[in-house]
Amino acid sequence: MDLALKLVADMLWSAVAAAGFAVLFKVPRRLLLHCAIVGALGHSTRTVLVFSGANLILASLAGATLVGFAGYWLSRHYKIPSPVVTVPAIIPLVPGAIAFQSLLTLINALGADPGETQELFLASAYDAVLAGLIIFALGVGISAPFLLLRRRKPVV
Amino acid sequence: MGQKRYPLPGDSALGITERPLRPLSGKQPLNYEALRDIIDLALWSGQILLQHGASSERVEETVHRIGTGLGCNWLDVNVTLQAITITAISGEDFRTKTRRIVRSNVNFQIVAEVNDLGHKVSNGQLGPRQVSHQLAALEAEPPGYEQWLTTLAVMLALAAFSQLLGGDWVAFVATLVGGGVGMLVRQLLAHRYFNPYIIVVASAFAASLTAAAVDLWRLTSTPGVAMVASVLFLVPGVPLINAAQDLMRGYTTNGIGRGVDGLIISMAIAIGLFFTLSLVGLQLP
Repeated sequence: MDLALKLVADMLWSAVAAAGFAVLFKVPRRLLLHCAIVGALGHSTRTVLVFSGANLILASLAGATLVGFAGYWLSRHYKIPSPVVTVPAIIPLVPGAIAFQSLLTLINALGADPGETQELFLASAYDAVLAGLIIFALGVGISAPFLLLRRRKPVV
Repeated sequence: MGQKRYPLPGDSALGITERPLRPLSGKQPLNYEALRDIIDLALWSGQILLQHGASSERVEETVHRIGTGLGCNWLDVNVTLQAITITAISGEDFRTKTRRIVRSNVNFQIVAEVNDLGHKVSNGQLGPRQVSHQLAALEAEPPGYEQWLTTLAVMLALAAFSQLLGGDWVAFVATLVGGGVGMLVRQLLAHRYFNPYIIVVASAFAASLTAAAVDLWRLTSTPGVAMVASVLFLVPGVPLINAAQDLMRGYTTNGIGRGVDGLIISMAIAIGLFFTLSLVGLQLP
């Protein structure tokens, strides 16, 4: 029961985050709600997968792929470019906090005791690689429908 | 898009000029002035797309669609992050022109409308005059939301992030206020044409410092969360996602460029945060 409540909260807050960024990116009004719903689906998928023990990067890939396919379908239905939906919806999954953590640890490493420096550099590199891989997983995930379904002979 | 068949280099030197050099796919060869107008419209639409957050592939496709839809046989489009170059070909003639990309702010409504324009042109529903009018209208009055509404929506989004990061309700309020101040600072500095990265450092500093100040009495059990969440509106989501997409589709240099841009923005945010953390004397969770 507590778990279900947490999931609902997760969906609610990620929906608000996605919709807020959709306004910042000036998504057409008629698609704001879609951004919110797709964002909630993507983020809660990752939350559920991570909770059940999946790797954070693979869980991000799964969430992003869901967002990608939802965006693909919406883009065909409403005749819009799919990033209009997928980019705001993917924002809740972007590892901003991890990336900042990495850069701040790097800054701290420079002013630390010689003994700690090595440890801090390592921690910074770990977070940097994690953030980088998550972002790449997000990019691959939202391109997935195009990579899988819209294969064309190159003409341009 | 019709079949492409270029004259081979040296054809004319060999005296092989009698046969039609290129199948025209039913299109009349355009005169020089018409070619100039089309290349201008195609460049203009590409510039608008690139400045408002479209990926390189979408820019190239739409530019190509508009050029061929308006009567060219073929367009070769080179999209970089700083400029677009087009060679438009019609009959045996061609013209080449470059247009510089100057600024960028994300506006997906504009991207959607120019994308739609491209489809309409290639279906033959719009002529050059209408395209020109529509692009001018988009530039004169960019569609979007009022500033106060955007600020409010972003504040709520950031507060939502503080919840997703596991913050409590004090952190929620601190994030809300900090994010609002950060948005205000960004807007003020952007109006004065500061360097984009400087704007990011300053807004990250203002947002996180305000978030820390709201929690002056240390009421929250999750102090770092409000500071981190309040700067998330600066996260380079569009450059980073476009970087990944460009890299996946073979626009490698553009992808690297966007990725580096996103990295510098992230570092600028971290520097702003670092200033606040040094002042407040707090470690992040």
